Amino acid sequence: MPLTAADDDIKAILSEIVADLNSSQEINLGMLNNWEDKLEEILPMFWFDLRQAKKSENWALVSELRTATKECQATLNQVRVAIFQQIGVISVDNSEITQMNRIRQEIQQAIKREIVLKGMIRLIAFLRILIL
Amino acid sequence: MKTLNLSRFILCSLALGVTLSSCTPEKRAVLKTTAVGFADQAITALDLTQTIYQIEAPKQTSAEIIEETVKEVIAITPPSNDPSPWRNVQEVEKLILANQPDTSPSELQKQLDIVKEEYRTAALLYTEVEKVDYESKKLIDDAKVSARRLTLKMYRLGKLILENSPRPLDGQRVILSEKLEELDIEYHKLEKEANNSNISLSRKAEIDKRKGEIQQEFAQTIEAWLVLNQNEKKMLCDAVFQIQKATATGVTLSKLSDDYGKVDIDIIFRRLNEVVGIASTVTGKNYSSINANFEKIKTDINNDQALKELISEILRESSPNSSAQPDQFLTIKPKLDCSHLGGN
Repeated sequence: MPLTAADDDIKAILSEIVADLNSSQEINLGMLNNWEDKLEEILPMFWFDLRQAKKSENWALVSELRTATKECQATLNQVRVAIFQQIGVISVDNSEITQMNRIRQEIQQAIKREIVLKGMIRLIAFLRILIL
Repeated sequence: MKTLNLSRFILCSLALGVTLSSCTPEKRAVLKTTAVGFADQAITALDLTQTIYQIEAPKQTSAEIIEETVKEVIAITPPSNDPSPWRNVQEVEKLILANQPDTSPSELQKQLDIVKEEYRTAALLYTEVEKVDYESKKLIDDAKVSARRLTLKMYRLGKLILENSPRPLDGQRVILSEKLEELDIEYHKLEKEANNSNISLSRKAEIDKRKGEIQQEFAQTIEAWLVLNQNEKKMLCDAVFQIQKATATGVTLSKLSDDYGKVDIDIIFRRLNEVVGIASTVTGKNYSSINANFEKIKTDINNDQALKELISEILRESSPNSSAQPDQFLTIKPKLDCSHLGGN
C-alpha cells in the first residue's frame, strides 16, 4: 500500500541505516549518532502522515502508520540506549551499583568493628587510670 | 616497673595512633555534604535529560482523540451479526485505546532511573563513611573511585547533548507544519481561481482579502515555529547547565577525597570556598559561559591525575584496540549554541 509523498523519503533514509548494518564495520558511536539523526528525521514524517490519514479517514493506512510510528519510536529509543551505553552513562550490567554496594558492606563492617574498638579504648583508658 | 613502662609505651602508641588516624570528622562532614550535593545536582540533571529525550507525539486534546476514535471504530466495524465484532472485548479495547497517548516509560527513561540510583548510592557511601573513624581513609579511597566514574558520566552526558542534541519538540513542529501546508494549499487554490477571467469583481475582492489573511496566518505560524525553537534550545541548555554544575561538584569531590588523608581541614575549607566560587558562576545561569565553563572543568580534570588515569582505564575497557587519548575523550565540539539565550 502506498504511503504518501513522504514514503520515498522514508525508504531512502531507512536504506542508509540498512547499508550501515550490512557493512562489516563494528557498530560505533558515530554510526549510532547517525542512526539517531535519521530516525529523528523519519518519526515526524510518520506523525505527519498519520494525522493526514486520519483526516482523510483512510483507516487501513492509519493502522499501518500507527504501527510504523510505534516501531520507529521504539527503535529510536533503543538506539539512544545504545548511545548512552557506548559513552558509559548507562552501565551495561549495573556494575557501578554492584561495586558501590560492595563498598557499603565494607563500611558497615568497619562501623561494627569500630563499635568494638571504641569499647576497647574506653576499657584501656580505664586501665590506664588504674595503672597510673 | 619494667612491665609498667611497657604498658605505658603501648598506651602512648595507641593514643598517638588514634590521634593521627581520626580527629577528622569535620573533613568527613565536608566530604559528605559535597557528595550529597553532587548526587542532588546529578539527579536533577538526569531528570532534565529524561525530559529532553522524551519522545512526544503531536499533542491532541481529549475531545479530538474521542472524535477520531468514534469515526474509526464506526468505520471499521461494519454491522455483522455472525459473529458480532463487538463480542471480542479485548479487540474492542485495542481500538478504543489505539489513539490514546502512550504514557509508559521508555527503555531509556527506565535506564536513566537506574543511573539516578547510582548517584544516590554514592551519596549514601559518603554519608555512611562519616560514621567511621579509623578505617575511613581506606573506605574513602574506595568510594572516590565510584564518585570519579560518576563525575565522568556527567561530563560525557554534557558532551553528548552539546554535540548531538535531541529534538524534543518535533511533535509540536508537525502540527505547525500541517498548518503551513493547509494555508499553502488554500492560497494556491485561491490564486488559481483569481486567474480565471470569468470571476466576478466582488469574488476577486473576497479572494484578495482571504489571501492577505492567509499570509498573516502564515507569518504567525512561522513566528510560533521560531518561539518553539527558542523554547527547545532553552530546554537543552538548561539540561547542559545542570549537568555542568554536577560535573564541577564531582571534580571537587574527587579533589577533596584525595586531600582527605593528606591536608588540614583549613585547606579543605579553602578548596571548598574556591569550589563555591565556581558553583556560583554556574548557578548564575549565564548561558554564554557554558563553553568556557566546560573548558575550565576540562582543565580541572586534566590537572587531576586520578581522573585522568580513570579516563585512560575507561578508554581501555570500552575499546581495547583503540588508541584514543584522554584529551579526545574530553574534547567537546559543540553544535548546540546556548550563548544567545543570554543569562539572568
